[in-house]
Amino acid sequence: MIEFQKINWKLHFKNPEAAQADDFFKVFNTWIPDSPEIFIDVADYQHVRDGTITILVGHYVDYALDEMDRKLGFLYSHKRLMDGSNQDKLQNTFRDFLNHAQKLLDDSFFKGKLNFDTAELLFFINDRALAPNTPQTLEAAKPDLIQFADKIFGKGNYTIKPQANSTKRFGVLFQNSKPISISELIKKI
Amino acid sequence: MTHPFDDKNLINPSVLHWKKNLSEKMPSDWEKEINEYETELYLKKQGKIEDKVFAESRLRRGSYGQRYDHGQRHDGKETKKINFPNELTKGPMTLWDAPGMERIKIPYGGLNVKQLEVLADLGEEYSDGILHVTTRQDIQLHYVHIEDTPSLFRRLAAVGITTREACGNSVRNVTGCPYAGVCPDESFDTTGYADATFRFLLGHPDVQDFGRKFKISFSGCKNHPCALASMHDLGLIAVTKTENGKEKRGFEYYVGGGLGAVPQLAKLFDDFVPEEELLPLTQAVARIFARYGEKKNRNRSRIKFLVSDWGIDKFREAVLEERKKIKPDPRWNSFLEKINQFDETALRPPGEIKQIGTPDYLKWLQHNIRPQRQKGYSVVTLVLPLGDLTSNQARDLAGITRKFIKDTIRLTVEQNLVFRWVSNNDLPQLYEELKKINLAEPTAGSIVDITSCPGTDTCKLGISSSRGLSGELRKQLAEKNYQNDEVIGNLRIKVSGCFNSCGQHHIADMGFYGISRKVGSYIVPHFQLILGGQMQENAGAYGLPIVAIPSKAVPKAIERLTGMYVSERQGKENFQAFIKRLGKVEIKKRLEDLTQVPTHDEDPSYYVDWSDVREYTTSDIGKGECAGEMVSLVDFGLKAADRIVFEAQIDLDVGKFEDAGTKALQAMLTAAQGLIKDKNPDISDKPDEILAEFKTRFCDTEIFYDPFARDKFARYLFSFAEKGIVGLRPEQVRQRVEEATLFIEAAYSCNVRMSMQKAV
Ligand code: SF4
Repeated sequence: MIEFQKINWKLHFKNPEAAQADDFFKVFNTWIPDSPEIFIDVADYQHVRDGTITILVGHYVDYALDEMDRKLGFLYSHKRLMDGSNQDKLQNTFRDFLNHAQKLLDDSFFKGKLNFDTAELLFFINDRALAPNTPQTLEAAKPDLIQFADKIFGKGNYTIKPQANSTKRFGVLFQNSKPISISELIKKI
Repeated sequence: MTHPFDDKNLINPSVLHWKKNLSEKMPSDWEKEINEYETELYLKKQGKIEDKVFAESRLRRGSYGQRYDHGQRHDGKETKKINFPNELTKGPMTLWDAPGMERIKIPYGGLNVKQLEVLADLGEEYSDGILHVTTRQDIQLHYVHIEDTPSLFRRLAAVGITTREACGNSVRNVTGCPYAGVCPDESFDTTGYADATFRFLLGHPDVQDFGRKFKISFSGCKNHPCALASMHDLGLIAVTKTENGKEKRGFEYYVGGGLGAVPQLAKLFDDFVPEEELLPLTQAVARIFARYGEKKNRNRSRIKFLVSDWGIDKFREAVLEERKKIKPDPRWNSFLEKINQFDETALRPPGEIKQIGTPDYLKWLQHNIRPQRQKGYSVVTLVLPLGDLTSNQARDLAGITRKFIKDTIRLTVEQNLVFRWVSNNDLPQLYEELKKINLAEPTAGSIVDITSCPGTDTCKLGISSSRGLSGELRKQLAEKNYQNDEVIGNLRIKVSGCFNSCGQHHIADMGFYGISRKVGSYIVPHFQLILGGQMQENAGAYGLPIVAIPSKAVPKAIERLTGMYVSERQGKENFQAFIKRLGKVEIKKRLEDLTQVPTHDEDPSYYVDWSDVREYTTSDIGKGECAGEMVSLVDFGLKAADRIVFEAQIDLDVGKFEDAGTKALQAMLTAAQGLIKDKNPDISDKPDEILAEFKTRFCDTEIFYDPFARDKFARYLFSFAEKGIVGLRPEQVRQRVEEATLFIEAAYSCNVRMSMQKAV
C-alpha cells in the first residue's frame, strides 16, 4: 500500500494541430480572473520541447498544454497534500481534471475543434519519495488503480502499462479499448 | 522523532523520507544547516521570527521571491487579489503560499550527470518542469513552494550541490570559463582556483556582513568573453610569469566592476597576484568591503562604489594593510596540492572532424563546435533557448552524456550548456542524438542566441517582457536566417527586463533593458536601446544608451540597425566601430520613426507586451529581494539563539534532558555573542571569551539591563554558565530552558534599545 499524493493526469489530443500554444496561452489567461480556484499566472514555454508548452500555474493545481514524450496533451498536476483514501484522491483529482478538460472543449475560442483521445489515459505520481518508479511501487499501487479503472472504463475494457523508463517518475498508461467521451467519463465519477 | 512540520496542514511524508534517507549522503555541516533552516521555517510559520530576518535567511539559501508574491495580479483591467489560503508572510510583503524562485549555485557551471538527473527530478516535482540557466551559471527553478525547500536542499546536497549564499548579501556563485582546462588560449586551468575560492568563502565569517552581494569570476585568458571578468566585483584573469627559470601561476586581480544602473569596469588592483595569495588577499578584500562598504543606502552598497569613492590606490592600501593582520589559515594553500584533481579525461578515443553531412549538420559544426587544446576533441555547445531546458530533456541529456563523455558538462554565462571532451569521431552521432531532443540548434554564439533575464515572466522588478521580446526575436531573426549571415551573424543581443542588467545588456552589440513610457492615458512597454558594448576582452567596454523604443517596434529597430551596418560599414569595420563612427545623434535620428507609438485605436498591440495578452501595466512590479534586507550580525545571532532554544524545547518534550540543558546554555551564549557582534564582529565562539566580553561591554555598562528587572536576565546566563548542566534534575532543566527563553527576549529588547539610540 502506498500513499497517493501529487497526482497527475494527462490526455492526448486526437488532433494535436488544433491545440496551438498561443491559443492555450490566451484561454488560460481567461481562466484566471474571478476564478474560485487560486491561479497565479500563465507561463509560456513554447521555445522548448518535450515538456510543458504553456502552463496555468495554480496554488493547488497546474494545468498545462504539455508535450512530454513528444505527445501533445492536456496535463493536470495536483501539487498540494490531499486528505482521504487513495480512491478519494483518484476520484477527486480525476473529476477536477475532466471538468477542466470539458471546459477546454466548451471554450468558444477553440470553436469545438479540440478533441481528446480517451483511448489512452496517463497517470503519474509526481513524488519520488512516496512512489519511486520501481516494480514494487507498481505492485503496491495496482489494487487502487485497478479498482478505479474498473469504475471508469469497466472491468476488462482496459490494460495498464507501467512507465518503462525507470529514470522517469512513476506512472502508468491506461489503454482503454472502448473510447468514451469526456462528458460520459464525468458521469461515471 | 518529532518533525517540525508536525502540524495538520504540513505532515508531508516525503519530507520525512528525504530527511531520513539522505542524512548520511551529505557533509554533516550541510545537513546541520539545512536542519537549522527547516527549524527556522517552522518558527516563522509559528510567527516567532521577524519577516525581514527570515527573508534574509531564506535568501541566503537561494529562496527568492517571485512576481505576484504580494498576492496581487493585474488582469489587464484591474488589479485583483490572489486568494492564497492564509495571510502568513515569509518576508516583508511576501505571502507564505505564493510560489517563489529557487536559485541553485553551480560553481563555475560545472555539473556531473548525477546532478543533472537530480535537477531534472527537482524541476519536475517542485517546479514547473523547467530548468532555467542564468547568466551567472546558476540554475533557477520557478514556482517553488517554500515548504518544499528543505527537501529540495537535501536532495541537492546529497549530490554535492548547495544553495547556500545563492542570494542575499553574500558571495554569489563563483563563475568561470566553461572552457577552462580545454581552451587552447588559456594561461592555465582556473577550475581548481574557482572551486577553492567557492569553498573557502562559503559560510566564511568574513563574508557574512556585506551591505550587498559580491560576485567573483575566473577567466583563463585576457581576450575572450567566456567569464566576463571586468564586470565583476572581483575579476580574476589567469596569468603566468617566469621566476628563476620556473613558470609561476597567478592572477591579474581586478576589483569594483559591475553592471546595473551605474555600470563600472573593474579596476586593476594588481597585475600579478601569485596563486598562494589568491585566498588571503580575497579574504582581506572581503573584510574591507564588510567594514567600509555602504550599509544604509542600498543603491551605493556594492564594492564598486567603495572602490570609486576611495580610488584604487587607497583601496589597495587598506586591503594590503588588512592582509597583514589576518591569521594564517591552512586552507589558503592546501588546495594547491590537489589542484590537478580537476584534470579531466575523455571517455572515447580522439578523432578527426569530417566536414561531411547535411547542411544543418555543417552549420552546427560551424557554430557550435570549438576545438579543444587536446587534439582530436571538441567542446560542443548546446543552445538552450532563453536558457531553458525541460526536465525530460535534462534526463535524456544525462543518458547522452554517459554515452559520449564523462562528467564534463558546464553551464555558460550565455545561458547555454557545453559538453567537453567530445571525440571528433562522435560528432555526427552526437548531433543526431541531440537533434532528437531538440538540442542541436545550430546557432551558438550567433545573433539568434540571445541572452535574456527572466523579466516580467517571474521577476518582481521586471518592467518589460525580456523573455517575450527575446523569444520573438529568436523566431523572427532565425526565419530571416540572420545567424548565417557573414556580416551580422555573430552580432550579440542581450535583453534585461529592467536597468538592473541581469541580462547583461551593457556588453552586447545590441542591448536592451525594459522601461515604460506614458502615452496619453496609457502606459506602453518600451526598451532602452544600448549600442556598442563589447564582450571580448572579458567584457572590455560597455555600450551607450541611444533611445527608448516601444517593445513592439524592437524587431524593426534591429532589422534597421543590422541593415545599416551591412550596407554602410567601411571595409572590415566592426559593429562597435561602426556605431562609434555613426554617432549617437545620427543613429537616434535614423530610428526616430520607430520610437513613435501609434494611438490605442490605431494599433492596440503596442499596449500589450510580448508574450502577454493583458493590456500593459506596471502595477505588478513589486519590491525586489535581489539584495535581501539588510540584516545585521546581531539579528542573525538572535535568530540562531531562537532556533537553538526551540530545539531545546523539543528535546525537553521527548525527555532528552541533557541535550535540552546543553542547548539552553548554548542558546544564551549565542544570543550574548550576537549582541557582542555589534561592538566586536570578530568575537570568538569560546564561551569564556563571550562571557568576559558580555560582562564588560553589556553588564558593566548596564546596556543589557532591563529598565525594570535590571540585571536579572544577565544573572541567568552567568549562573548557568558557572554551575553547568551536570546533575540537573528534569525540572531544573526545564527552568533553565525557560530562563534561556527569557534571556533571548531580553537580548532582543536590548537590541531594540541599541537601535533606537543609534537612530537618535
Ligand atoms: S534585469 Fe531586472 S527584470 Fe531582469 S531579472 Fe534582473 S531585476 Fe529582474
